[in-house]
Amino acid sequence: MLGGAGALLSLPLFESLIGDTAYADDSFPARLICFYLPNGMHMAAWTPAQTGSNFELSPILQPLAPVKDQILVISGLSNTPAQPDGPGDHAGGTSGFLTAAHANKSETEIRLGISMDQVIANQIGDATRIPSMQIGIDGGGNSGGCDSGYGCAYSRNISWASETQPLSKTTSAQVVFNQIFEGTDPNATIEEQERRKLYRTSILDYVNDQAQAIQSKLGYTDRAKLDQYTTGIFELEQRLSKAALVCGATEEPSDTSDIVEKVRIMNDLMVLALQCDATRVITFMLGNAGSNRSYPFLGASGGHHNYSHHQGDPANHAALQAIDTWEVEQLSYLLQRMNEVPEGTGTLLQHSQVFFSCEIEDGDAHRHRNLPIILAGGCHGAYSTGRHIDYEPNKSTNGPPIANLFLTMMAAMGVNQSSFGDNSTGPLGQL
Amino acid sequence: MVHWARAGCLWFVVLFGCDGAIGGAGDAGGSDPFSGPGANEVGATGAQVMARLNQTEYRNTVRDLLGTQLDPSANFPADDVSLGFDNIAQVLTVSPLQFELYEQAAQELAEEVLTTGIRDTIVFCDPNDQGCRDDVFRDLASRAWRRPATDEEVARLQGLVDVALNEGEGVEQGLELAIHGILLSPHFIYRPELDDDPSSTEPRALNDYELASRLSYFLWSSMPDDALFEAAANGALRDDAGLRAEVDRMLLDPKAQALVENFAGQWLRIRSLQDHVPDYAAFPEWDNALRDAMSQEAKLFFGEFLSGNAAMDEFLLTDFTFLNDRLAAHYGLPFDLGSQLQRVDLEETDPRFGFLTLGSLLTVTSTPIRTSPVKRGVWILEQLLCSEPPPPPPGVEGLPEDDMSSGSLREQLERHRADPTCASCHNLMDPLGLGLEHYDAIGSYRTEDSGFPIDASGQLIDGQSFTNAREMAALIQQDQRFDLCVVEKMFTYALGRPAATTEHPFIEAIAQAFAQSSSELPELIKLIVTSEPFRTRRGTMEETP
Repeated sequence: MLGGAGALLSLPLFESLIGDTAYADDSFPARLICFYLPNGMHMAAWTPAQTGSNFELSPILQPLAPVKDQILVISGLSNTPAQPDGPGDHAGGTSGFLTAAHANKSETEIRLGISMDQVIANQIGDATRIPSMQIGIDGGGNSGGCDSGYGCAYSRNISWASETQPLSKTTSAQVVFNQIFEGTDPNATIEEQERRKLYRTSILDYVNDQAQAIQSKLGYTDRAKLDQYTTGIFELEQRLSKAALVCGATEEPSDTSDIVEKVRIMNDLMVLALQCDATRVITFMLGNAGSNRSYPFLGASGGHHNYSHHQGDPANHAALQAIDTWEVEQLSYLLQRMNEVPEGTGTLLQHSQVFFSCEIEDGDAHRHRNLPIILAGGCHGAYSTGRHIDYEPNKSTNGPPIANLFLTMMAAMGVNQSSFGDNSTGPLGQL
Repeated sequence: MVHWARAGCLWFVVLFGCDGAIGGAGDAGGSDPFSGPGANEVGATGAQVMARLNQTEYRNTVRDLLGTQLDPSANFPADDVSLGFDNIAQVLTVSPLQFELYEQAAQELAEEVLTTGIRDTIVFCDPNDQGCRDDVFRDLASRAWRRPATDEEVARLQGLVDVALNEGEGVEQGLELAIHGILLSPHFIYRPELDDDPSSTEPRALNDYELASRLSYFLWSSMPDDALFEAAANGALRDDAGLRAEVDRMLLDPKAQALVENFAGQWLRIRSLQDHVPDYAAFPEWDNALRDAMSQEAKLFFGEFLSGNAAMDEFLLTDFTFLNDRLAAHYGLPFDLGSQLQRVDLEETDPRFGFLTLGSLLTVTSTPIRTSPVKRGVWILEQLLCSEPPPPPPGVEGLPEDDMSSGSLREQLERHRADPTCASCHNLMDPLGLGLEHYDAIGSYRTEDSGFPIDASGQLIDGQSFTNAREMAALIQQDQRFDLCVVEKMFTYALGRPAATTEHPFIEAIAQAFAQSSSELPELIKLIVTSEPFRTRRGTMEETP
C-alpha cells in the first residue's frame, strides 16, 4: 500500500471472485503497461528449459509462480534496428525498446521514431483523462555523458511522441498521484469547480495567443519547439473538458529515495491509474539505460552495469541473478496487484497486457536478439497465456522482429496497423 | 600557456581518430574548414535554437523574480543532457507532462505571491485602481519576460482580471490569474530571440535585452537583475568595455556561484559525486561527511580560478587545495584544521597538486570497487583535451570486477593492449589513467594495489614520457589541446549549443587571446561574451521537404 499506512483503495477486494471462474469482461477496456529494465538479463538463469505450457519457471522467473498461468515467456525475438552505429548498445537498445527504430547517432540531432505505446495512445488516449503516462525511477545522472555519442534522450526515454520528441518521464510519486487525481477537489462545489475550469481555460487561451503571436518570428526549428508547448496546452485543455476522477480513497504518497519502497509505490500507482481509468497506457523504466545502480540489500554493491559485463565470472553471474530476480519480483508484485482488482467478471490483469523486457539480451555481449520478454495478462483473451514460446531456437540467428510482437500488441488494444517501426513484417503468430 | 604560433593544425589533432585514420593531415590546406570564414565574416555565427529554462534556471529565475522560497521545479522531469551539459537548447523539450507541471507551478507561485509577504513587493499600489494594475503587470511581466512588456500585452493581462470580475469575484482573484498567465507564458518558459526574418542566415546583433539574458543565464543561471536591465536599457552592453564591466560586476555577485555548480559541476563531474556509491565492504571509511568534503574541495578549488585568485595555466599543477580535518586525514596530509574547509598550501613533495588529484574526480571516475584507469584516461581525453577516443568495437568487454588473480591492473591492461584492435585507442587512454594509479577508488594515496606495487610511469601517444602523476599533469597542462578545450567547454555552456564548424576560428582566436593574457577565467568569460557568436544570432533556412 502507498506510504505504508492507510488504505489506498476504498474498493473492496473481492478475492473470492478471482480464480478459475473469472473470465474477461468486455465492458472493461484493454490496458497496457510497458516495463523496462536496464543492462539485459542473465540468460542462463532466465530462459526456461522447456517450451509450451508444461514449462518450468527458471530460477530468475521463480517469483512469477503465483501468476504463472497468466504470463507468456517469449524467447527468440530480435530488435535489429536497436543495433547502434558502432558502440552505444544501451542507448540504441533503449531508444529502440518500444520504437523498433534506429536512433540517429548524435548528441544534439535527436531523431528516432514513434513508440508503440504512443501509437496506441494516439488512437485510444481520448477516452481517458490522461492519454498516456511515463513513469520511472531514475531521473538521470547528475553529469557526464550518456552512451558513446548518443544524446542522453536516447538513454532516458522509452516513449516517443514523434521522431523528434521523447516524452520525459516523471520519477516523483507525488507527480504521478497528482496527474491521476488532478482537478479532484471533494470540498469544492460544482459551481466552484466550473469557475476554476473557466479560469484555467482563460489562462491557457491567453498563453496560446502569445505562442501564436511569435510563430512568424521563429525559424522552423524553433516553431517545432513551440509546437511542443502548444501541444501541452491542447492536452491540458482536453483534460479540463473531461470530468475529474472519482475513484478510490486517496492518500497522497510521499517521495522516497529508498529504491524498494519507491518501486512498490510506483507499482501501486500504476495499478491505481489503470483501475481508475485515468489512463490506459503506461510506460515504466526501472532505471535508465546502462544503470550502474548498486544493490547492497541484495549483496550486489558493485554496480549493475559493471556486473553486467560479467565476462563469464561466476561471481558476477551470481550478482546479476540476484538483481534480475529482484526485478522479476517487482513485476510479480505488479501483476498480483492487478490480479486482485476485480473488474466485472474478470480482473484488471485479465483486461491488460504487461510487456516486460530489457534493452539488450546478455549484458556482456550486448546482443539485440533473443531478447528476454514476459508478456503478462490475457488482454481480453488476446493471448493464450501460461506458456513459453521460443521463436528462434538457434541463438546465433536473428529471430522474428520484435516490431511484429508490437503489431500484435497494438491489435490487442484495438489499434490495427499493417506495419510498425523499421522492420515489421506482420503480426506475430502463436500468441 | 602555449605559444600560439605553434598551434596551426590543432583542430586536426583534436579530430583525429586514435590512429589518425579519420580525416588526415593531407586534408589540411585549401579544404581546411577552419581557415575558411574569418572571424568577422558574414555567416560565421552558428544557428541558435530557442532555449527553454532548464530545471536549475527555472528555480533560480522564480527565486530572483519573486523572492519565493518555493521550488516547484523539484518535481519537473529531469532535463535531457547533451555534450555533458543540461542547458543544451536543442535537446530540451516540453512534454505534455512538463507543461502540466509548469501550469501547476504557475498556480502555486501566483497563490504564494498574493498570500505572503511577497505581495507588497509585487503589488506595490492599490490594485483596485486599474492604473495601478497596469503598473504592476508591466513591472512583473517585463522582468519575467526579461524585456519590456508592450502596452498590448499589459492590456491582455487586464483581460484576465476581467474574467474574474465577470464571475463576480474580486480583483485579488484577477491578479492571481494574471500572475499565473505571466508565469506560464512562452516568454517566461523559453528565451525567445525573435527575428523579423527567421529564415535569414545572416547574423544580426542581439538586442540589448536578448544580450542581457544571455549574460545572466551564462553567469548566474538566472534572469538579469535590476542593474543588468538598466545596463541593457542604457545601451551600456553595446561595447566591449560595457560588457566587460558588467561581467566584473556579475562575477562578484553570489549568484555567480552558479558557474561553479552548473558549469564546473558538470564539466568537472563534481555533481556526479552525489550519485556515486563506493562499495561499503571495500571502502568502509566512505560516508557523507567525506563525500561533502570532497565536493566542497572541488567547488572551492574551481572558485579560486573563477575569482582570478589562480590562473588556468596552473589548473593541473597548483600548490594549494582546500581541506578540513576529515579530508586532510583521508589524503594523509598533516594539517590541523577544523570541520570547515580552508585553503592550505601544498609542498612540492605532496601527492596532491591540482585538479587531477582531487578526491572528487578520482572517485567518480572509479567503479564502486576499484579504480578504472580507462575511465580516468577517457575523462582526461574528452574533458581536458576535447579529444574523444573512438569507443570500443562492438562486443568488447570491460575487466571483471575484483579479479586480480592474473596480475596487476597495469598488467591486465597491457595484455589487453597487446591486441591490435584494442591498442590503437587504449594506447591513448590507458597511460593517462595508469598515471593516476597511486590514487585508489576513493582518492586515497597508495603505494600498492592488491599486493602489486604501483607503477605510475607511462608514455603518451606522442612519445613524451613521465614517471609519475605530477609529470603527467605537467604534460597535459602544456598540451595545446588543453587550452582549446577549456574554451570549447565554456563556449558550449555559455551558448547552450555546440560550436558550429564556422565558429572554430572564433574559438581559436579566443584561446589565443586567453593564452596571451593572464590566463584567468574572468578574462576567458569576457573574451567569450564579447565574441561575435555570443553577441549575434542568425536564423535557420527552412528545411527542404
